[in-house]
Formats: sequence, C-alpha cells, structure tokens
Amino acid sequence: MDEIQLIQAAQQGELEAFNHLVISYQGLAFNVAYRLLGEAASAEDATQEAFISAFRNLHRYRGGSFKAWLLRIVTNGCYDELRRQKRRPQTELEPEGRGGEEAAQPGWLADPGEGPQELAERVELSAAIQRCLNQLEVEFRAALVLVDVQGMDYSEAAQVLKRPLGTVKSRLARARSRLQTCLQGFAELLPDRFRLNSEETE
Amino acid sequence: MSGISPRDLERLSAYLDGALQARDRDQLQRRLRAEAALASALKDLEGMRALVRRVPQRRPPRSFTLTQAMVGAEPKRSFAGWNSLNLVSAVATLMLVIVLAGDFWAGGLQPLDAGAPAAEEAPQAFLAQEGDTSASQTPTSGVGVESAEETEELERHAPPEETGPPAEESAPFGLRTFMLGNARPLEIGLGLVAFLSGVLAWRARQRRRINSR
Repeated sequence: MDEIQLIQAAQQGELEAFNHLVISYQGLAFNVAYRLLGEAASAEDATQEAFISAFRNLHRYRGGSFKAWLLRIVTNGCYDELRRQKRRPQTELEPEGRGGEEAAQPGWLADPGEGPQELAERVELSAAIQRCLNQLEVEFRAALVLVDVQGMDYSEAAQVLKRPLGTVKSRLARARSRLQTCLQGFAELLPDRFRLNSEETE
Repeated sequence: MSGISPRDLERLSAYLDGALQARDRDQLQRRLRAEAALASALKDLEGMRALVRRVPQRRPPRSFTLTQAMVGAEPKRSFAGWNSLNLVSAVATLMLVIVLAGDFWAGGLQPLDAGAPAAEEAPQAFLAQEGDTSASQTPTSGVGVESAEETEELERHAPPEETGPPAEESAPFGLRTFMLGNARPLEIGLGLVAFLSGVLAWRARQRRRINSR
C-alpha cells in the first residue's frame, strides 16, 4: 500500500495501517522533537503523544503533505512542552553532557566507517550545535531545525509552521546568524575542520 | 557578519537555498562580486549551514507504533456512534414530548367541555336526591344506588366537582396516566428508547473523553 492508501485505511480506524506510517516517520518526528526540546526523554514523550494525537485527529487531515501535517503536530506538542517547562523549570537528576547530549554513551552517533577521533569530533560538534540551538527562540529554532537539520524546503517548512513563506525565510536568516555567532563561542571546542571561515581568516 | 544589514542577511540566506527570484539573484551576484564583506558573510553562512547539516540524525530509542490500548476505541467509529446515539436520543425525546403534549392537550380540553354541563347538572341532581332519596341512580356518576344510606355514603366520598366524567378522562391527564402505568405502548417505547440511547451516548462520550486524555 502506498502512503495515501495507508492514510485512508488509518482514517477508517485501521491501526495497523497507521503503524506503517509511524514506522516511516518516527525517525524524523523524534529528531525534530529532540532538536526542538534538546532532551531525549522529553522528545520521546512528545513523539509518542504526537502519534497518538495524529491517529485520533486523522479525520481532520484533508490531503496535502502528510509529513508536514504530522510534523505540525510534533512541533505544536514541543511548543506546549517548552511552555510547560518554562512555567515549571526542572533540574535534571543526572547531569548530561553539554547541550543536553548524552555524551557518555554516544552509541547512536556511531558510524561504521568512522574512527574514534572522528566520532569524538562529531559528538563535540553535535553538543555545541544543540547548545546553541537551545539558546534560540523557539520559532527561530524550529525554522532552522526543519530547513537546515532536516533538509526541508521553505514551502514545506512554512506548512509545518503554518506561517507565510516570507516569515520562514526571515526567521531562518536570523536563526542562522544567531547560531553562527553562538558557534563562534565554541570555536576552540570544535575540531579544526569544523571551524567557520571567519575564524580561519582572522 | 556584523556589517551586514538584516535585509542583506535574509537575501544571502535565501540565495544559499536557491530561494531568490531571478532578478534578485542576479542583483545579489553583482554585489557579491563587488563587495568583499558581503562575499565573506555568504561564505560564513555557507560554512555554518554545512556544519549544521552534519549534525547526525539520532536513532529513535524505541518504536513509537501504537497499540489499541494507547488509542482506545477507533476514533472515527466511536465519534459516529456517539453522534448517532445522540440523534436517536434527541428524536425519541422530541417524539415523546409531542405525544405527551398531545395527550395532555386532548385530555385537558375534553373534560372542560364535557365537564361544564356536568357541573351545572350536579346541584340539580343533588337537589333531586334530597327531594327523592329513593331515586335509583345519580345523574352524573351512573352508579346504581339501592338505598338512602348508600346515597349518603356516596355523597360523603364523592365531592360535587368529581361528579363529572370518570377520573381517567379528566385533566391533567397524559402525564398522570403515564405515571400510573396506563401509558400507551408508544409512549413507553419512546421513553425507553430516549432513556437508553441517552445513557449509551453519555457512556460513549465519557469513554471518548477518557481516551483523549
């Protein structure tokens, strides 16, 4: 069955058909939630909640990009979670690595063709970027995560964020600028090959 | 990138993603050739974007597939069922109200029309009874009386205003007969349908509310 048939079957209440969609999109949904929330456990909860909500509200899906519709539910769930966290700030019981990365067990980062040095560099890079992402306003963060981290085009990101294309464009530009400024603060932590051009020329 | 205006920054960012209109793109390309600061800002932006794109995708810690327990009843069917039960309940209640109102109206008017002459006749009958205690029956009750004692007994127990038609035919009537268990099968049926579908709709709604938490 293709995606449209799966959606139609799921709209009739077939959970198995919906679970095929879950399997297709769970990686993307989890990564978007993780980059927006900056923390794995919250991202896990947000992803699960988003899929449950998507199944229950599938009758409201009126065609178009299912990916964008689903990611809108994920990002809205993340916004809610961030608002909740703002109201009730929590302190972690177990310290995490910089930027909320679980640096002690970076097994998920492992790439079979990658040496330990390269792996360490990527862990450092990922942690630095996540830390800078966490400092961005959530709307800017969302635009950057969708376009730069997930490789979406502007119109798809605009659908997810339910904002005009021009708004996404300007938010992305500002997010990139702020992220760049932030990453310059991590210059010495980043491996040489990841340093930004302006660092090299200075 | 400090010397770059926000507008130029936006143009550079869009240019990087190939999202500029042809005219704007050509114009920016001319400026990039002429302005070193702008070209440097573009290079920085490009490097930063490449860096972010290198951020690895994290493997989901577990599968997020759903179970029936997670989602409860099938959403569409439960929604449709809830709606149809509500509709059945509403229609049955409306019909019951119409039938009861009809009963009340018909039962309430009849005794008024039929009762007036009866009420006028009652004193005459009473007088007639006083004058002739051997009268064999009262004019309004239609009950045979054998003796004066029995007539007095009857008068004690039957007030004058009840000397009209029998109690079953006087107002307010539909509701009282219904309450007394003399309702017609239609009324009982409608009442039962309204009640049962109302209860089922309420239960379906409660279950749906629990599932959506």
